[in-house]
Formats: sequence, C-alpha cells, structure tokens
Amino acid sequence: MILALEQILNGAQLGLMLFLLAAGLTLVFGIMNLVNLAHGSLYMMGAYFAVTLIDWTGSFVLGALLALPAVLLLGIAVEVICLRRLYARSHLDQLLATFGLLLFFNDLVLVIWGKAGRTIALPGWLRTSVEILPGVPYSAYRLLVIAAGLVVALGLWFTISRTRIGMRIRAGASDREITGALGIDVASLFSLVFGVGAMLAGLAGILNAPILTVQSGMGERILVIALVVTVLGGIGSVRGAFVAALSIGLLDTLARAFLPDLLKVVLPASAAQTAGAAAGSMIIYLLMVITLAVRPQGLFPVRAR
Amino acid sequence: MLEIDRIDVSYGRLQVLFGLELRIPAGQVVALMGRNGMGKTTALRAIMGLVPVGTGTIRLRGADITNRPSHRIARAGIGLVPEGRRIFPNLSTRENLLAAAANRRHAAAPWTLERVFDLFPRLAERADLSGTQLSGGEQQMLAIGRALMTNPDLLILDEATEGLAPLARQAIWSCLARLKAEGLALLVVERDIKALATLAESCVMIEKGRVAWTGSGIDLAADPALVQKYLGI
Repeated sequence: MILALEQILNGAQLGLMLFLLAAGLTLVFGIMNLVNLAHGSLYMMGAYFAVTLIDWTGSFVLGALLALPAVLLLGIAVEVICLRRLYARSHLDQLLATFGLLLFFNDLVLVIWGKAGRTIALPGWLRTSVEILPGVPYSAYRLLVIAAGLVVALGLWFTISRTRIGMRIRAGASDREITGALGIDVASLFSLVFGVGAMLAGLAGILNAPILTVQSGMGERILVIALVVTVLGGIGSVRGAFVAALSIGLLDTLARAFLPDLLKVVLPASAAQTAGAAAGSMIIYLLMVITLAVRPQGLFPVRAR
Repeated sequence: MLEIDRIDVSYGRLQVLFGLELRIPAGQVVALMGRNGMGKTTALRAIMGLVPVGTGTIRLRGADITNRPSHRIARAGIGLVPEGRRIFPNLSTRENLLAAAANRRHAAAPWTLERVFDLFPRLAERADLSGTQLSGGEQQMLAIGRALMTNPDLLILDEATEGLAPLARQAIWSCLARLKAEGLALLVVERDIKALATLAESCVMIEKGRVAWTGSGIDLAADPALVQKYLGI
C-alpha cells in the first residue's frame, strides 16, 4: 500500500514532466502542422543550461530560474532561423530537418560540456524527505517537482482556456487559414507559442536534471513518449495532452513496478520477472494502438470535422 | 472602396481567373454570381490574400493590398464569412466571437458582444455552447458575427444562405439588409435572385474566370433568359 502510494506519486511526476514536453509539441503540431523531433533537444538544453548556470551562480534556485529565459530565447532562435522555413514542407522534410537539429544539439553538448554525464547537486533543504503519511517518507524534491508541474499545468490551462490569447491559439490550432483571415498574425503568435513550448520543455529538463544524469541524447527517450502523449491526447489539444500525459505517466510507472509481481501469480518467478518487465515497457504503446484503433483522432480531437 | 484590376489567378498550371475586374463602392452591395467552378470563391480568396494573385492589383481605399498576408488585409477592414462557415469547433460561441475581436480602425460605434447578441438573439442563448452544437443557421449567424467583431467596412460572404432552411435564409437576408442600412459594404456570392433584386446595387456574372455580364439586381430578376444562360436555372 505504501509502495503503491509512492509509485502513484512517481507516476504523477513522470506524467507532469511528459505534459511539459507534450504541451509545446502538440501546439506546434496543431497550429503549424510541424513535426518537431528536436523538441527533446530543448529539454536537454534546459538541463545543460541549468548545470552551467547553477555552477556560475552557486545557487540552485537562481540557476534554475535563469535557465528558463535561456531556453525561451534558444527556442525562438531555432524557430526563426530554421523551423519557419519548414512549415510549408512535407512531414518527411520536417522529420529529416528536425532530426538533423537533434543530432546537432547532441553533438553540440559533447563539444561544450564534454562526454561525461553531468549531475546537479541539490541544496540540503531539498535533499530531505517529507512524511506524506505517518511513516511514509517521500523525497522533498520530487514533491517540489510535482507541485511545480501542477502549477505550470494550471497556469497553462488558465491561459489557454480563459484568456484572449488562449482563444487565438485554439482558433489557430483548429483552422489556421480562417484565423489569419480574421486579422490574427498566426506566424507571430506561433513564434511566441514555440518559444513558450521550448521553455516548458526546458523546464522539464531543468526539473529532471537533479534526478537523472544530464547527458547527450537524454531528450530522445522522453521525446518518444511525449509524441505518444501528443497523438493519444489529440493533436493540438492541451487538455488532451494533460489527460494523456498523466495516464501514461501513471500507467508506465505502475506497470513497471507491479506487473512482474502480478504475473508471478500465473507464471514461474523468473519468467514473470522477464515478461513483466517487457510488458511494462510495452504497455503505453499498446494503449496508443488501442486508442488509435478506436479513436483515430485521439482523446480530444481539435479538428472536429 | 474595393477595386480589383485585371487580376489573373492560377492554381499551379490551371488558370482560374482571367483579368477579372470588380468595383465595390463604399456602402454598396455587390453580388458575384455564376455556376460552380467559374471562379467565384477563388476571387474572394484572392481578395483575402488566401491565394496568390499572378498579375493585376487589388486596392482597398486606394491602398494596394495585392498579395499582402491575409491578416493584414483583414486588419485593413475586410471581414470574411467563409464558405461552409468554418466555425472554430473547439471554441464556444462567445469565444468564437471574441477570439479575433478588434476595433483597429477606431470605429465610432464598434461591434461588441452585446451588439452582435442584439442582432442575433439566438446566439446569446447559446453563448456557452460549442460552435459545433449550433444549427446550420445559427452557425451562419455566428460566422457573420465573428466577422463583424473585427469591425470591417467591407463584409465578404461566400454562399451564406447555402443549405439553410427557408426561415434561417430569411433571417440571414434581413440581417444583411440591416448591415447595409448601417453603411457596411457587402460582397456576396449568392444565387437567390429574388433576394438580390431588392438588396444588390450590382450583380456580376462570372463565366470561366471572366466577367460576362454586369447589371443591377432588378435587371437580372427581370431577365429569365440571362439567368438561364449564366446560372442554368
């Protein structure tokens, strides 16, 4: 029971990190019809910026906060210099070009930060654990990550669903041509959306940096899952991304934790261990296949036509 | 107010408009007519900057707007009610109206949510419903209201009464008459000759991308042979 609660919190944390990535990805795909494989690179760059800025400032909080505008600017630069030329091209061209960007960033960090993975040491007050229930300790930092993820998700939900700019973003995602013909500069709106999306991906990288090793290629695994989230939630739908991200985060974490034990009921111990681990890592793709078979447009389709 | 001078428009190698000419004086109603595939919608799309114009110019109040980005053309004072209405399905009725609302050219009595709801009380009742939950007629009202909220002085309507029930058609026509009375210029693609006879100062018949006939709505209604020749009805 205690383990289950811990795993649920871990799952929520993974889900919220996935949401931070998927939010930008889904809007970029929805509004500009651009498949951006380099989105995971912005996640990675967030983590590396945090490594250096925490080093320079000597403060975890200050360094992490400064890394955010750095990723925002990097995102806008990538959009203006490179991606803007790709909107009218085919998805295959976009995949090739953004895959090129991904390789470029992976090598760039090797040149600048070296081959060895980097770690970020947390300040003492974040290295403690908190008793979430009597007798159940949980890492204070992980709780902070969950809280930050929730605050950002709430802020994003408010912006998208309650403000004028949010209405325009949603309008642009459902019908770009008509949005433009009503006087909205979709290209500029999009630069902003892309920059903020990059910043959110960067935030996920920054928050994950103290938990994981910061290294070249760290964006790829999470990008693949974030793409699954995007497709599952419905391309262009932030609400869909949120629901799908939390579902996948929880499902992935819980399946990896508990499937081997569950299978032991019907299988010999060693077979259950192998099968459970394999099934645990497959289960989110299975969910995607089933969802797409039933609802090809995802859970919350934006283009309801 | 809007002057279209000899524009050519092509989709790839297929040329659709051949030296099309059109004038819309301020406050007047001009109808663009012709059979399907003759280039009516293409002409509207060319005005809005949604298809590139090959040669020729389009001027709004004397300023060249040919091939400008469509958001700039809209901001210069043209409101579009597109074919098929194209309501934003993921926005509520109220949000559809508010998303692009602006009074960029400082109209003295700008369109507001209240004024649009006053024009179409049905929309006020359905303000919080998603755009897709509205009936065809209500969606058409919403598309008109959405364009009005950008405070244009020329409203372009592409087949605004197409596929609507008679009562809803009547509601749209009386709304257009009211907008005209308020001084708005209208460019409509329409085939309802009876309704146009009382509303349109000029009807322009397009055939194969060229202007084939121009006259008043009354002239057109009085000449069944002309209608038969260009519209086949």
